[in-house]
Amino acid sequence: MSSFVSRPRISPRLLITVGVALALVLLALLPETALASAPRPNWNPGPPWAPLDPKSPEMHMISNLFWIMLVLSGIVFIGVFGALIISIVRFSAGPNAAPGPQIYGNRIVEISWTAIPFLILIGAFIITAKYIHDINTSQAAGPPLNIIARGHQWWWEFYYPSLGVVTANEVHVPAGVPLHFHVESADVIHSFWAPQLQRQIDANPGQDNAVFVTMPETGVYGGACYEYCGDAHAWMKFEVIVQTPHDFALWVKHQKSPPAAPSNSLIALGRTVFMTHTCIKCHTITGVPGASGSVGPNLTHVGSRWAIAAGALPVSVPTVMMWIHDPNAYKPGVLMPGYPLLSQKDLRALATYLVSLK
Amino acid sequence: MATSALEEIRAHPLPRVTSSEGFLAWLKTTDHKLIGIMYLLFVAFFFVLGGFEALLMRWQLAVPQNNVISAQVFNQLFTMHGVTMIFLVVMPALIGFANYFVPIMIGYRDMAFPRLNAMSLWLLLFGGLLLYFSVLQGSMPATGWFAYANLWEQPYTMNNGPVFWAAGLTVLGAGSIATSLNLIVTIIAYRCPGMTLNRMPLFVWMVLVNSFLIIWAMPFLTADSILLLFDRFLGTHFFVWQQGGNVVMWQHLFWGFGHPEVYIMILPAFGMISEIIPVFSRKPLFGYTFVAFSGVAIGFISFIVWAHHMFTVGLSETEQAFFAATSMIIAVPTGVKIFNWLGTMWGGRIWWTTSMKFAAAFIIEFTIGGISGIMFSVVPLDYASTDTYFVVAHFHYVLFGGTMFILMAASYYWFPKITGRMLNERLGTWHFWLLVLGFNLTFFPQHFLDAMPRRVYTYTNTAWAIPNMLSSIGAAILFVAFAIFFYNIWISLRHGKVAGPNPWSAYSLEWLLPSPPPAYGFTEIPTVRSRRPLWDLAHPDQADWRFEHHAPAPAMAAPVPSGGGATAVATMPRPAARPAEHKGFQISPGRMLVLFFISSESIFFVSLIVMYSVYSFHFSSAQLNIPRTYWFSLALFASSGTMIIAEKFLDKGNKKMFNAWLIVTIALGLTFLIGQVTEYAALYHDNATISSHGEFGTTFFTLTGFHGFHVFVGLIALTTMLFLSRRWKPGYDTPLKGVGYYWHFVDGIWVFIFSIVYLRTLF
Repeated sequence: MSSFVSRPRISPRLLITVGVALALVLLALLPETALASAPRPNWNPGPPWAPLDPKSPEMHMISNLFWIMLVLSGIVFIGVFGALIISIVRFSAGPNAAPGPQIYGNRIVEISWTAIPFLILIGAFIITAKYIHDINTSQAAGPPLNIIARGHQWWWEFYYPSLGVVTANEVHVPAGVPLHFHVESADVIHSFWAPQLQRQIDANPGQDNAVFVTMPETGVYGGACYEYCGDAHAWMKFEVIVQTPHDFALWVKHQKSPPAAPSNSLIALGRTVFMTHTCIKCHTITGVPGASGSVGPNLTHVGSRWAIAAGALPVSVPTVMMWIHDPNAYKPGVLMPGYPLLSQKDLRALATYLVSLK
Repeated sequence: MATSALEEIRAHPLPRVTSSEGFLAWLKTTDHKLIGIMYLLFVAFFFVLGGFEALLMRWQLAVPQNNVISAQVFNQLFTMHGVTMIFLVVMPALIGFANYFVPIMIGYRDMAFPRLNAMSLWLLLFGGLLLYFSVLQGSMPATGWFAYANLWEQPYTMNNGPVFWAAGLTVLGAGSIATSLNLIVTIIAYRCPGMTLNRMPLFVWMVLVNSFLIIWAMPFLTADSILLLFDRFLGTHFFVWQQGGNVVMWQHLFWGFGHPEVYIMILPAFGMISEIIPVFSRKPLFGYTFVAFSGVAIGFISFIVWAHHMFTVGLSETEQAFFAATSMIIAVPTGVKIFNWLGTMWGGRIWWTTSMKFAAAFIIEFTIGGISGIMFSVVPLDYASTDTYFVVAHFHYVLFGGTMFILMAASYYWFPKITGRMLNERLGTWHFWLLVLGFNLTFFPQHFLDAMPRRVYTYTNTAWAIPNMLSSIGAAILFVAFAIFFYNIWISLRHGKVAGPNPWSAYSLEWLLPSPPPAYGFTEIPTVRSRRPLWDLAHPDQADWRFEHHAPAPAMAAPVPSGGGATAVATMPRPAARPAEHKGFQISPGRMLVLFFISSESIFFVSLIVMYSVYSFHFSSAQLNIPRTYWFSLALFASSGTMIIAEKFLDKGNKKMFNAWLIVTIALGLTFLIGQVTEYAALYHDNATISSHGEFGTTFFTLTGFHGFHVFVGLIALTTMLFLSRRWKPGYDTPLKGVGYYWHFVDGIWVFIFSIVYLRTLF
């Protein structure tokens, strides 16, 4: 057989050098683009592997299950990897090696490596079935606290039917009290998940999905929409604030109180701007007659929240001004229109008014 | 025989694209080998597109709060990356290799239906271009590759991206169904003498299973796409929940397709690796029967695991447990395959070519992907990892570490056969190690991003920065690795070592041909006596057929032709005969094609009937005139009988009576259609239309309308037969029998629709 070995004209080393240089140039561009972005509020759903740092009994079950499965899988992986390594060490040969013994199979070996995983998986299935039941069943002795979590493009509405409180992108719960979240959607499919606290569940329009959970440890936990739901899917975050029952009762009381009357002329002007510039078509502020729109988030006590626009910007006068001027710049695709024609004075007054709604 | 053919092929290489005649030769070809090559070329083109989409996304995600691309562009990128890699890269790459190698691996010269084969190829190209033309109307699809309802409904998506998604996937689906029907008939009817099912190369086995998966799974996607188009254009409201639609039904239909699709993307690759590992281990495949039947088992089980993509939509506990169980069961046959491949290497004489390196790396990467897959079947773990980067890592380990690694192994393995030259092994080694490094660096860190939602264009959390940065660096390395691969192809085509017919001392029939094989394939159809005909030729003393008792034939093996029994040579020249004859099949390939096509069509109707049945729990039907429908249904049922009578007269050669009964059949069919038109008119009069409020009109008109459309198509086919019968020749009874099957199918479906839509309202 005629054969000639070619010598590649471009060496792979050259290609790698070019590739690495290209990558470095791209990386060099990155920090600049990062600097150009807006100030974002702090939002922390836990460590990157948050479900393994659980803060509720339900998530403890899940993380326990994970470690069990990891050990089982680890054994399988080490077995496969080990067999491959041994094959490499023991059975490597050149192109001209004579063939070894021709073995076509071994029924006993094959049946056992079919049956053993099957038996292990039966065990895994039994645990799985039990945990499915435990996690999806209310562990409460009495009636749990009902909270309706409704996904909107792109924010979360939280409603406590028994308490008459409505809030947005921030849910306060009393520690140690059994909760029943009714997860639903006002438009498309979203998914409701605070990774350290509860199981993930979809928010489907026209469906009431249940999450039963108890959150024993006070603290602030991040959550977000995990099902892709359109342009601003990345900005659909919420915070779960687990408080002592006493603090929670205080919070409820505060939420139900109407906002304080404007304490200075700037805030009064801001309130007038709010009432006269179509804001009230979409937003509600409880206790302010006429402000009863239901399309956008409820703004009662918005000044006390961790963020506006489901995590797109922090709550402060300058950031609220930035937001109202051009919301699309900070949350692409957002349904709220910008108000670029609003004068700086009106804008500042409006922002000051909203931030004052503590 | 081999040498003379080799001389000939050197004198007549592949048609050259550069000359005008050669260019036409490619465009008009029906040769399965040229079509296979073109599949792979189109795949390379779309792979570069999809790869750059991924690189852009990784650039954007490299650091928190990056502004390289906008949210809207990012959403289009991940949608098109998924659609491209699944429908325009992985599937057609596997189909392209199947196109090239299945006919010659089973000792035949071409696919069963070469022109249908060419049509499938061009449907792939134009379906892909149709998807990408969407960019001209302002936006590519941006609803994710599974395009969940109701995000694509107006007003949530105002541009026509979803329409291009549905139209493009319907075209691509038609192409893959056509090519799969073709492959099924080829494999069943055209195997060479001695090639029983029990001796088929594993690649052919897996392509066969895969083709059945495609023809039975694709129609679910087609149904979903059609419903999308109806919702957008005809005002139906299948997924408009405000008017009674159900958004979760989309997911049931989609994953009814989507989960078999996962195996569609890996089974032929399993077949490839089952060819490659034995060759480079210098051993037969360990446990052939187990590997083949585990593939069949995976095929069946893959149809009952779909809802494991939906553990968070709020299924009942029973449903969740059921789909957890099936998903765990399907892991068993997959695991069996891995053990068998290891068993094949064990005790072998392993030759570490680049191809074999990829095969070994595949075993490791795929095991990691399989392990994380089992974690998803443990439902509570799914609650805490779905829609995160953990799932992104998982399916890339399966599809990239699995299928893509095998495609690389297959490229190095079969390139010499396709082009006549070897790929450069030195460049191959660089390619291999950079790919392994880049792949693991890209996707392994994503396992640790279990709280980061997938499909977000940016993130603020600095705790996610390091894994993301590693992942992006890995993507850059992958780019370099593939650049080396393409460069290797480029340089080896010109200057590669000449391969000769069988550079790897491989076992299966394609290596009997010169490299590249001549257009006509085998000069003489070979006869095989075992699973490794070329091994038998090279090692007559150790020939496999001497040890057949090691591999008892399964009960379903086809009868061994009488020609192969007595001769001691594994492959012996034998006059070419019509394979359908010596196989002793009672059914011609054409009719077989129609039967399998009908099975695929049935799945489409099953989807529509399921939609009707599920929705019918919530609506009250309009007043249907059941007696009238009964009478015109009777006409349709009677037409099946008249069709049978017509065929009987044709068999007797009585052309006159055949014509007469065919006309009666057509008349009865027309009666049914007229009845349906009057029914629609009456309903329209009562303001019941496809877009009227409630789900009755939506489901009723879609279901019965599609049936009416099938009747209409059947009538056109029957009328064509009527005209053909003027110049009747003996061979023409095959199309007529085919049309007859189709007509009976249309009538049979109506039995179900009539019962479910009409009779049920009586109770």
